[in-house]
Amino acid sequence: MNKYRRLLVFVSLILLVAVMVPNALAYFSTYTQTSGKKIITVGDESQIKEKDVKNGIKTIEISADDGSSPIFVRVKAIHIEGITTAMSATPTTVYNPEKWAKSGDYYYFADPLDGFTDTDFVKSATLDLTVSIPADLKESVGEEVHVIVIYEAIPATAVKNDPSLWTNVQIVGGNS
Amino acid sequence: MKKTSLLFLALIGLVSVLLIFTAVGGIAAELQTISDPYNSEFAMKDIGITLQEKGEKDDDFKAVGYRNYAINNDKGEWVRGSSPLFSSIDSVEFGRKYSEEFRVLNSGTIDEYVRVKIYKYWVDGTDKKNYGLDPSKIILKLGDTELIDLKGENNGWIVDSNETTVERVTMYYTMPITHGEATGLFADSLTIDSSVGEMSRSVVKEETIDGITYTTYSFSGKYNGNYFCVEIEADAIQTHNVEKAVKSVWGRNISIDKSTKKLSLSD
Repeated sequence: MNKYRRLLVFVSLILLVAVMVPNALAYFSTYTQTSGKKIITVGDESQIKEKDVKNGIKTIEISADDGSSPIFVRVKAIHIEGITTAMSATPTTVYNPEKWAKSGDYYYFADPLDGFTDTDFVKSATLDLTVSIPADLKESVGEEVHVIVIYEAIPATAVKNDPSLWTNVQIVGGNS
Repeated sequence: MKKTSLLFLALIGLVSVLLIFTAVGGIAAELQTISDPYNSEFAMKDIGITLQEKGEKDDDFKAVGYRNYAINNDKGEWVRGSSPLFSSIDSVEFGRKYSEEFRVLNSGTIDEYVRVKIYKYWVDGTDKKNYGLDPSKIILKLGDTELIDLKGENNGWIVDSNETTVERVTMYYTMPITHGEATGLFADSLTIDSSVGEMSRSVVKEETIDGITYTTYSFSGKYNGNYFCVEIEADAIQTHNVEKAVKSVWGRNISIDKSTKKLSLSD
């Protein structure tokens, strides 16, 4: 076979492939693609609302902000010497005495507060403290006294992983 | 010498015949596009696909991605569009099961087989993939089962285990869908695992005052500030000669039951 014929065979084969390839590619197909993303926010924010002592009761409400991760909270009342405070035994519509427990100087709420409303946990907790002023003290300070409240919060997951943490902790910065 | 010549002549003859058929085919195709009856036949070959989502706040399914071939002024063109997923979710609540339903609609005019690929991953604040975070915390389910764990056929979908990893799930719809028909759901809920909200504790400082040791801790969340991301790709292919078409276009061996038209994956 001379060079001319070899060239013709080569060109013929190329033509054959060229004729066959488009058939292989002629399939109907399509596709679509989309995506979605949302940010993850891990953190807690909470706030306290407190009322002045009225009829011997100091009402404190602590709530987790919208979107906040679950937190455990505790409350401590500070006042002048001689005055005593205690949990009110009378439940109100928002106060659940059975959920609060005193340990040391603090009142602890049993459940985490959660910034989302459709969970197993509540979003806020209310504590009613009765403020008792001894008669001899009333003569010097009068009927009105100031009770200062400190509240603290800690991530619920931290306590879940280490239950001893919450019972012996002093919180600095953040939610104190 | 004679054998070579005969072979050579046969080859030249074959090529000539093929070239003539190709040329005639081209002319015929040209005639088809300009004659009315063939125009309508050409329009029947439009392929299209639409990915649909129904979130918690949606009353009905909505298109979140589509790509349809359409004839416009005798000229074919692709019409496409997409919108972000999860518009019903405002802020992510860990451990909560969000209703997120997904299916595929045939928005073309020919029957088609479809498949979906679902990618799950994390990106940081600069939109770069964060490989240090676990994609399995992004949980997509059909019923009570995670997509990656689905066995057999569910709502007409089968999982391709050869093409499925923690980060990607590939699913095939076993039956062809006709124009305007939608598949069954391939996912119906999204949950971000509650462990994503966990914080790790680290000691900032330790000091002893009056014999009492005070330890200061800092809490930080590993996933905080990152984005969970779900990407869905939906593919459609013609039903004619589909085994060869799927192999050629998607690179997958499949087989079709001739009586039921049901698709199954081959190893």
